[in-house]
Amino acid sequence: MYHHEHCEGFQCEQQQLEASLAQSGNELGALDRLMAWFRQRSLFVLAYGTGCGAIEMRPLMTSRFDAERFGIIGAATPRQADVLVISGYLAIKTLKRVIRSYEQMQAPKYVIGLGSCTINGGMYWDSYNTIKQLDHYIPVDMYVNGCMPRPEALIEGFVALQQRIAAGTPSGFERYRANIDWYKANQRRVLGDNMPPDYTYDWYHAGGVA
Amino acid sequence: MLDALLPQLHGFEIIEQTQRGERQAFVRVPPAQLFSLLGLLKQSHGFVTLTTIACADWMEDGVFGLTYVLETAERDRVLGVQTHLGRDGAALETAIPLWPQAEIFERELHEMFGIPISGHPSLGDFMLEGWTHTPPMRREFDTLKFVQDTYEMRGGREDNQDVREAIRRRKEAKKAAAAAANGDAA
Amino acid sequence: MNETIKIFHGPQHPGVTGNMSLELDLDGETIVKATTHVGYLHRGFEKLIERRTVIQAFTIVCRICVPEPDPNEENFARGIETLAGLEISERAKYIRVLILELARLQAHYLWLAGQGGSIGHGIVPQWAVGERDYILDLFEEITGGRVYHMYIYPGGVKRDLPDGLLTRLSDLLNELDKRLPEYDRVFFDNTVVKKRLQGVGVVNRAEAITNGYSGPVIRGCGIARDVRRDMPYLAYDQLEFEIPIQTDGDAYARALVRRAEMYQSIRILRQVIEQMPPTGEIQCKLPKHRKFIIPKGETFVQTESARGAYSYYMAGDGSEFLRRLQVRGPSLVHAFTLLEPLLIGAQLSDVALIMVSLGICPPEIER
Repeated sequence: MYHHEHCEGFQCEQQQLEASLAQSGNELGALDRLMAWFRQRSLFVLAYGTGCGAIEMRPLMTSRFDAERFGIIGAATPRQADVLVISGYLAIKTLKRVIRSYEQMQAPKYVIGLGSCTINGGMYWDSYNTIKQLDHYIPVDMYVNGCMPRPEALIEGFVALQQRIAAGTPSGFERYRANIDWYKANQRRVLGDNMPPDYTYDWYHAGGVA
Repeated sequence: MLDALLPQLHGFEIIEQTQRGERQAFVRVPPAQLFSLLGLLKQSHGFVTLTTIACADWMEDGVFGLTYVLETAERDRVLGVQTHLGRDGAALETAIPLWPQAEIFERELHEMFGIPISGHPSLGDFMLEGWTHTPPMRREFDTLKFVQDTYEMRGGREDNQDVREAIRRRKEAKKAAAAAANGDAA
Repeated sequence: MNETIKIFHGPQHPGVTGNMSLELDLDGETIVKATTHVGYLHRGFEKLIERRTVIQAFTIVCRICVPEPDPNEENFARGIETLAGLEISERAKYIRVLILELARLQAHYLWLAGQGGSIGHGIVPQWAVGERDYILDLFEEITGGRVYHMYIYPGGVKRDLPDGLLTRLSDLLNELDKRLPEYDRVFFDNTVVKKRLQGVGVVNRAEAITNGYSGPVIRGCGIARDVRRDMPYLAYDQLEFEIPIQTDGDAYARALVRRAEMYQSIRILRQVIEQMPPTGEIQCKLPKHRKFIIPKGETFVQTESARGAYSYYMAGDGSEFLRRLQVRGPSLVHAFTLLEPLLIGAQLSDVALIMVSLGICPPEIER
């Protein structure tokens, strides 16, 4: 859970920028620390606007909020991306595509759930076509709440994710591997026979949980 | 607007008519006359555009109220041509020969209300994928029940308060305070 | 020997204007068949509104279209006012015009960014999205929200304008007006841009009206059709503005139409600043919201959004819930009836720019 401690929101962007560079004091070895340090500053975000939150991705990526300062930049294909931003409600039809995109991404990979509707359905809590809890279907590393969250909130979410990466906290893709049966059962429950093809997670069939 | 238009529509049985402002009107005809009226309005009365086909489910009367919203080229008048269609599988003829955009409107009608459209080339999944339940826009489809059956809702926060309970308590406190004040006055 | 290749352009693709998909059959790089697939954003708004009272429904209608939510609010509010017989004050009308025009302006900036991005022009998106944020800041000041405003309320608007807002708006308009010619130099008069946009995605003028195209698409092929002029709502009949048209019908013509519309929006906003009654009611008296009964009846309301005529069909049944609210956004027809034939013969690399130039907005197609 991410809490405010020193400053609030965009007032401390600069501080956030600098603070996460000098992470230390965790139990990682030197090499792991170096890897985590590299990793946290090069987050490629899959450009998949799954919902309305995608509209705030543009200000985030362009001149005003300029997420590139934090090493965040868009990637066009899942195989080159590190972060999947689920920008809002997921219709069933999109859920299938999202799962497939997620499984195609290469580890280490992270998921940010954007907006209240990923957390509990939000405005669409009684809609027949949107899922209510994103973390039942794919593992979520960070939630950013709001309807819709401001770009500053997004930046805070990303910085919090970077701090986690630097600290070496186990992240979602490890959870996904460990609990694949549970996730697949949940997915099957809403998608029915309409599941994405199995080959997108062939490690599961090849040699069990790696 | 209707005063000028209606005398020109000989032979059509106008079941119901409403005028809304000077530029908007709705007329209702029997389903059998719908397409001849639409054709006539398009050919000779300047209602060249089909803007949408709206459908309202009047479950208690057992009918779908279909509204074909037509506009003139100058968009100075809007006419809704309505008809009632039985809810239990009564088929509707396609309007694609008159307007090509009717294709998507009718696909939506088919998917959301389950209205069979005769003569339509591409009925099938439109917005939903592999939907086997009741068509979702029909009144008897209870979306909340479907949600409760299909999805797991996240439990509330531990400190989550029932708003109604809080309001009730506040009201009672107010009442008690007022009663006490009254008691003092007396 | 011609073999066709089938590719899926979207939904996970940076070149679509949102979460939708195009199934393209390609011969080399030339498209021989295009099929639009939608439904990736279907939330069932029309169903949700059937189970919500007027005031509850008011909070969700703006979410139907993300890039420009305000025409939804306006349509919904005006529909309820027509059904329930409410009159809104003069000042509220002007405030609504102000909101709608600001919304149009920001939507055009967003389009400009998209159009720039879709042809690989990196500067324009940076500028346009940055300048759009100035407008969003004003929105935030007026309504409290950057993107979703929930401000245009049945019976008026939600709250009065903050002090000094009109001065700040006026300053902003001067600033934007001053910067717009820069876009001419870098984008509209740019030879490369012209090369990419001219002659691409030509809309057939003969079928434009019958097929129900609207907005910049229809004005780009020489037909001056605009709800603000044809069926004036709010205070538009008291404001002076032109309806810019171009006759070529291609993507560049639509770009020029939008550019001229940005100037017209600024012009309308300046008149609003001058003509707005300085004081007055902003909200008429409403029934208690739990007892807000919508009388039996139906209506059809239209608002001109940045992408075209946005219409709602609403039917009340004498209860506090609407029996039916049907949303018909402009891109519904543009994405199917127009786009599918338009893409035949086009190049794969032009798909994104054609979609952006038609202003296709998936959330309003799918509701």
